[in-house]
Amino acid sequence: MNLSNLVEEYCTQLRRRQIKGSFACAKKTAEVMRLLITTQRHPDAASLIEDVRTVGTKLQAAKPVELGIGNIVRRVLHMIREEQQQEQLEASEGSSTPGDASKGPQGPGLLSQAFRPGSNLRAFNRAVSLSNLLDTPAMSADGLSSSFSGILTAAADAVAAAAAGDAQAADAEGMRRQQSSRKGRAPPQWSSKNNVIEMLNELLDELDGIEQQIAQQAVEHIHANEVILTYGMSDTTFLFLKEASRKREFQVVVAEAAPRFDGHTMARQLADAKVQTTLIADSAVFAMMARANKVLVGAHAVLANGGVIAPAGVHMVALAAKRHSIPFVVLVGLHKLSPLFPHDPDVTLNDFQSPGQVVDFDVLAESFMRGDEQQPGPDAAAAECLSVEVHNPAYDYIPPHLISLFVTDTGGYTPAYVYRLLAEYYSREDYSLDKELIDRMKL
Amino acid sequence: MQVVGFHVEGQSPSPSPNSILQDSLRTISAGSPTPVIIPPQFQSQGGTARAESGATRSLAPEFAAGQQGIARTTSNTDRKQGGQQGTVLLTTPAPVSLTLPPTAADAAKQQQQQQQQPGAATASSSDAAAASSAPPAAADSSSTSSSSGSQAKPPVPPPAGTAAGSAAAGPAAAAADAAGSAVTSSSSSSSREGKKAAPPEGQKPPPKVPKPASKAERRALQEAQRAAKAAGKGGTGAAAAGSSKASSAAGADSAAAAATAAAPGAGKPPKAPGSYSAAGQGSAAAAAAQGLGRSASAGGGYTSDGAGSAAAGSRGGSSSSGAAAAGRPAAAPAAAGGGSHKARGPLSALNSAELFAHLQQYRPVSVERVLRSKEGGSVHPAVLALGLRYADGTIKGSTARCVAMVNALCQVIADYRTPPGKSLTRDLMGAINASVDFLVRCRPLSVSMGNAIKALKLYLSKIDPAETEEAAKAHLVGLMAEWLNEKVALADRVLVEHAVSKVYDGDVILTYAYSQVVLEVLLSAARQGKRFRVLVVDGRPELEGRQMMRRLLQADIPCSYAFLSGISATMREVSKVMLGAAAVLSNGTVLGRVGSAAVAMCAAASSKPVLVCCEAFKFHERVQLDSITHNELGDPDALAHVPAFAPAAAAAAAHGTPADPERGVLSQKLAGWRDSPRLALLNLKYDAMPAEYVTMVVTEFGMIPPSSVPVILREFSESAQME
Repeated sequence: MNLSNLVEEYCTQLRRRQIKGSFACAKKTAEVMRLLITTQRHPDAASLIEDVRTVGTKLQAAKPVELGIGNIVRRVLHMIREEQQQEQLEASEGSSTPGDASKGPQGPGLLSQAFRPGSNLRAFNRAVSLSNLLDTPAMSADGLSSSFSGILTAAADAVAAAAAGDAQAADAEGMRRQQSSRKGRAPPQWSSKNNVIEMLNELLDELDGIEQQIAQQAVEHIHANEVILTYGMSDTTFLFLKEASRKREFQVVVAEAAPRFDGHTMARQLADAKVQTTLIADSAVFAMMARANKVLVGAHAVLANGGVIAPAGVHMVALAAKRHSIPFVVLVGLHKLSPLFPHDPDVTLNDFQSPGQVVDFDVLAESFMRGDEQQPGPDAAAAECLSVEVHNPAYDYIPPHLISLFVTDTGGYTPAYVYRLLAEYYSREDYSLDKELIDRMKL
Repeated sequence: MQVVGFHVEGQSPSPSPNSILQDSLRTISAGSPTPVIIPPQFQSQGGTARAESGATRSLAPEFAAGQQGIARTTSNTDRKQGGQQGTVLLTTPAPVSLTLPPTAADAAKQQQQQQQQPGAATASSSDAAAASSAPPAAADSSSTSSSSGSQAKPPVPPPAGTAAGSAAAGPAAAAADAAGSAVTSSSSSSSREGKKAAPPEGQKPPPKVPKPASKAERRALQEAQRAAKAAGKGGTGAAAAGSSKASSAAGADSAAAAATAAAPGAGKPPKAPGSYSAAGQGSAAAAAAQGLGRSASAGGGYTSDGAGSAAAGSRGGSSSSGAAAAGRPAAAPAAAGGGSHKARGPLSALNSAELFAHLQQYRPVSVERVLRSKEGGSVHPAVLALGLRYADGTIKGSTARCVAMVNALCQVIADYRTPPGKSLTRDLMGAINASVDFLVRCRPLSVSMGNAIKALKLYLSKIDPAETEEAAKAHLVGLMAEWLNEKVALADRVLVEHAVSKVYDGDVILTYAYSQVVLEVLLSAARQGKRFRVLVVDGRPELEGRQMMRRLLQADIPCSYAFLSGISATMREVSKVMLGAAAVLSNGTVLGRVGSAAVAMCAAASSKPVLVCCEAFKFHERVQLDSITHNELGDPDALAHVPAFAPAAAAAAAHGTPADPERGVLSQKLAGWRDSPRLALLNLKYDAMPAEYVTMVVTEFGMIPPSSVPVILREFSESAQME
């Protein structure tokens, strides 16, 4: 099986930064996941989850700053878990009376059901929290086990199987035992796997359509004769503006985003797309903000608190927009939604790139040489002098209070709503992919 | 010529060796012997200066008598200051050659007095006749100096049969000749055209048909246009009627229909210089006239460009008309300025021209254009040289510019002779105003310069009319020297002392771009043995921070360096921010290099103190809320160039774009951006930093909150009135 080779190759590409952009990474990760699920044999959901998580952790570790990889892995894990729960629910429905299932252990009229009709199975999905603690007096053992994660997996499985109380679970249990005892016979596939594969294909289609989905909302956000300020190059932003320009006349001010200068590309593409474009230096952003009506930028990742990781320099733009009370809109596909919280984001979620982009080495060499010639100072001073630092960070962290709106492929959201989106797309058990960390917590 | 005066340390951050002045000097000496005409008031002085070539003239000549070769400051106050500060003169190797042909110079000397009367037609024409022994130069001179140029009747009738020359009157021919001999800046492409066009001039048949086909005819047409335009410009001067008549005659006789179309366009500027409506009319009217439409609309574009700028409009006009005549699609070379933009596309919404229509549009200043301009002909050579150095950025920074300007103006004063029947105070004020007007054309004034001029005018108005001319001039120069010394040199030193007290061991000080006074503070702190680190943040397109870092590293101060975009990631380790300023306005707004507001904003967002170092002579009563109302537009092409080491440059280099060591490599994505009607580049120079970001302003009076700026201003104006 060449899956491991493929994973290795992908990891190498990531480490070498040969894959650029969070979208490309997300897409590639989804493809690897599909290959993993289709080619490997998994007797049940748990083993599949284990596999996906192992590979996903490996991919994420290859490029920790590319949060899109982990997001896709979490999405896949969430799909599997959903399928698993669906299965369990069906099984329990099969054993008990159908009418019982909907009223079930929760009972009608509870908050979680009122807000999410017809999806009471989601209640399983959510961990114990203040909001649903009272809702779910008969919280499933599965949920408890995963949230407290102190109970042994085997015990949890046993309880889950008991709760489900159907033949299939017992069958799966049996199969797993078989597998663990290393029988030569290939284990049977998990029956709901095809559903997962189908959902994964949907996810891939969804990824392809994200930019279009976002661009379609352009007309709702841009009115005539606006002056829109943007920063650097973002495909999403470009398509958004291009779409808007079909119906509206407006002007775009592009900051060039030194030292990568992708604003030049953006300005040229916009001008070629018949949008009136003005290119400015990054330093003129504050000055030009007085003339702008709206700021539109792309982002690298959306964090759990509603903050954003974006190309270096966007924080400055966001601050300037805040100061001038101008809406700061982030165009972002939901594949960039990450359940991580920013802790020390300037360092932990950043990527420091070659100083050669920022300063000419000749300039440095020249200054050192001259310093030596003029006055050969004490050695200590000279050594200290050599420690010139050149910073070239790739990303900025923008706190949520600077962001007015996220325009995503599923609509517009405020930063305050991000936590809710997280619950929709990810399972709480998967927020941390790091297997070792989880293991350590269990011990 | 020698620029004489005081030297405040580090007066110009990096007087780059190849300024356009030197470049042009080379071209000039190759092209024509006398490209610079010395205005009548100064001609005798120019003559003496040339006689004692190599000798330096100093601010107060009596002190410099014995000093040859090495210049020294001569004001008493500066002498008292001793050698440590501001005593070495800035000696510039004469950037503009001032040599006149002897005949012309002599004639000028003789008739100097008469020439100052504007009506002295005979004098100037005889001067021109005398000078005609050196044809191109004289022609040039007659077209540049506004008083004589418009009256010079037939200085150089070139060989008969030329397209323009045969029938053209003086100025037209002069301009054509000048274009041909290519006394131009290194950057202007029109000069290259001109050079090409010059040799076959003699053989050109007069273009009889409106649409000439041959190359030679096209060139003739271009030249005729250029001539007409130059004539039109000459017409903006004293005697407008005569010269514009001459130009239209030139057009009619040479049967270059395009030239006639261009002539009215060129004739417009005196009525409404720089007005867009005029441009629109011009182009609309031109569009009606089939065949001539292109050239005329370009002419209209020129009118919007303002009276002084000949090259941009005429370049666009001539080349596009040439292309049109050839029946080819007009691939007009990019003509600088908003006017030509306007002519190209009707939809030009966020052009810098529209958004910043209230600001002086950026026009590349070339030696050629300066010499042709109305003011260029009559200003003192020192001011001329200074203006060019402002324009090409070899003198920048508000302090440096102010000091250089005061020096140049002192030289104007020293060389000034009051014409008979006039009072020194009144007439000198006019001369100073003319010089300042010229400097503004080269680059808008900074607040510091405005304050210096204000002081100078105040002193001038208080000159005792009973004083002799020499005494009054010496008095005035002495006062200005004192002003410089007190308000700039001394203030700097006191300010540095104040600011150094705020640098502590272990500090990480963020500074932005290059500021002379901040550098002084840091160097001084390092000399006192304080151990700190400096984070130099730099902003495009000037990248002055590299200079800052170099100077700091040379002083063994550990540095970090980042672009403005990387500031947020590095802000945490910073303990304070120290910025220079171009001006502090009375509402506390700090004007600084573009980007400094963003730096202060990021610092304020991270709760870091922001110290602005600014001497009180840069304070101003004006108030300003944003950076748009008052600003300066820089060269948009500077934005299109990326540093040669940047990744974007690598792509461009692979594409075959040549690297320019000064500006970097033309970004591949922006090559030919002027051809794209919807793409504009905007290069703002200044930033208005709101007072809320400024923790304190460090001045020579101590450290004050920005809200106290008006207090200092009031004290200032009161003390000025007390004097």
